[in-house]
Amino acid sequence: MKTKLLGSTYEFKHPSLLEKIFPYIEYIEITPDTISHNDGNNIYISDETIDEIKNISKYKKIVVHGVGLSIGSYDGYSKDYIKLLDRIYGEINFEWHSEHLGYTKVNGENIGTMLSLPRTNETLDMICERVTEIKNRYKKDFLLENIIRIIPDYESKYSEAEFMNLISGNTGCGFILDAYNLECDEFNHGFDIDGYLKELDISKIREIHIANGIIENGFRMDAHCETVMDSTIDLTKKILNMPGSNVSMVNYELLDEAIPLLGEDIITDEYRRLSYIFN
Amino acid sequence: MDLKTLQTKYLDLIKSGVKTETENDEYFVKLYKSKNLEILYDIVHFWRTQAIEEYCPVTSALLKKLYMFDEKIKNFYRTNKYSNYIEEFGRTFLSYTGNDSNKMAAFIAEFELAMINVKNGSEKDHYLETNYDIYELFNFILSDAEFPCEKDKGFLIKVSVSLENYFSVINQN
Repeated sequence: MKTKLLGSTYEFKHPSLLEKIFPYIEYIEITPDTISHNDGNNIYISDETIDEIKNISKYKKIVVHGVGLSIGSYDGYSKDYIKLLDRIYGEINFEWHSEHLGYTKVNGENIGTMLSLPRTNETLDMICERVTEIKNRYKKDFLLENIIRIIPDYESKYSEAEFMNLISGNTGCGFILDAYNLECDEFNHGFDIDGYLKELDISKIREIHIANGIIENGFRMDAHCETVMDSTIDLTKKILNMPGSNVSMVNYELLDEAIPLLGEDIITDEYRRLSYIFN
Repeated sequence: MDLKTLQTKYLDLIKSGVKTETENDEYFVKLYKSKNLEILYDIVHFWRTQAIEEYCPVTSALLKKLYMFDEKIKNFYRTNKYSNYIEEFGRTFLSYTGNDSNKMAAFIAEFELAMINVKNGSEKDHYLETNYDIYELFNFILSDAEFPCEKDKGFLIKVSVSLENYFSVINQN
């Protein structure tokens, strides 16, 4: 039987949409940061949300994908995020967890976006040490994801793929490959996708992200607000068919804010289409 | 350049638009002039405004009507720490706007913060003073009603969980 790959991000705000797409997906991806609350004293995930995840996990596989760990901040990663992940780890049987290879905080302050890291020995040592800490803390596979580059990279010693391979080789972590982010980098910075894929250890890719955004002022943004372009699907198929490919999941990412704009019917149709391709 | 220096430079650039005049690092000289930096600013500003609009729609709508919204947000983030959590920085934004020299904006921000507190379970009664008729303000925010003027008399507004709709004009002097 063909492996079912398709997954969906879910933020627990649109249960009617979840019900509609449920037949088409195998995985639900949850993001601790977006399902948590801050009451002024504590950052927490409510018991109701935990119960809801437990209920969904009876029918679908759960994976955890963070945005707030900020693994690349020179002054340390987010302890708040670790607290949220501790709660999920203690309560939910998820398949694996992941974060972006970038940072959202500097000097304890959120920078309002996510930036990529210089690929130097200093960064490599720091990331490997942190990935090892995380892998020791949670006995689950941990993946790192390539992010879009808004501004050009600072001087780097290693290529993008070489850097990912070194992190994986040193720590045993896997990859999320965001196919749309690669296309954004190609569009915005002339990034060589084929060269990247040729150099990357494809066997380490456990999950692929697909999405679509907008082009504004000549810049392709990873806004996660549209149905998927054919080029992204073609690129994903290409990766799935590469020798050594070991992908378990293809996640269609859509921001919650985009749901009312696209409408539940269009989104459901998109999951139906994607399920024919990836399931 | 080490990671600490690089990331701190990025933070200063994003938060305050600080560009070192004597910059001699070719990368930053190019970045300062690049379209990418403008795009970065736009992205950061977009997410900040989205979050503020979601957390405090009434204050946001008034600030927009007063053509103060974008500048207010930019100034707020220059002087305040941005948090991952809307509940945290939304509150701070309302407190910040509550001290604005524009009395109309300041009152609405104070009022919205009190309403949020009460709706979130605060049992404390909040009393707010204003020289604006709150219903005129609502009409102005929600429709094309006339710009509300300050009245000679003051109004005392109570915001409390015990009240229907959580607020009432309890006194006019």
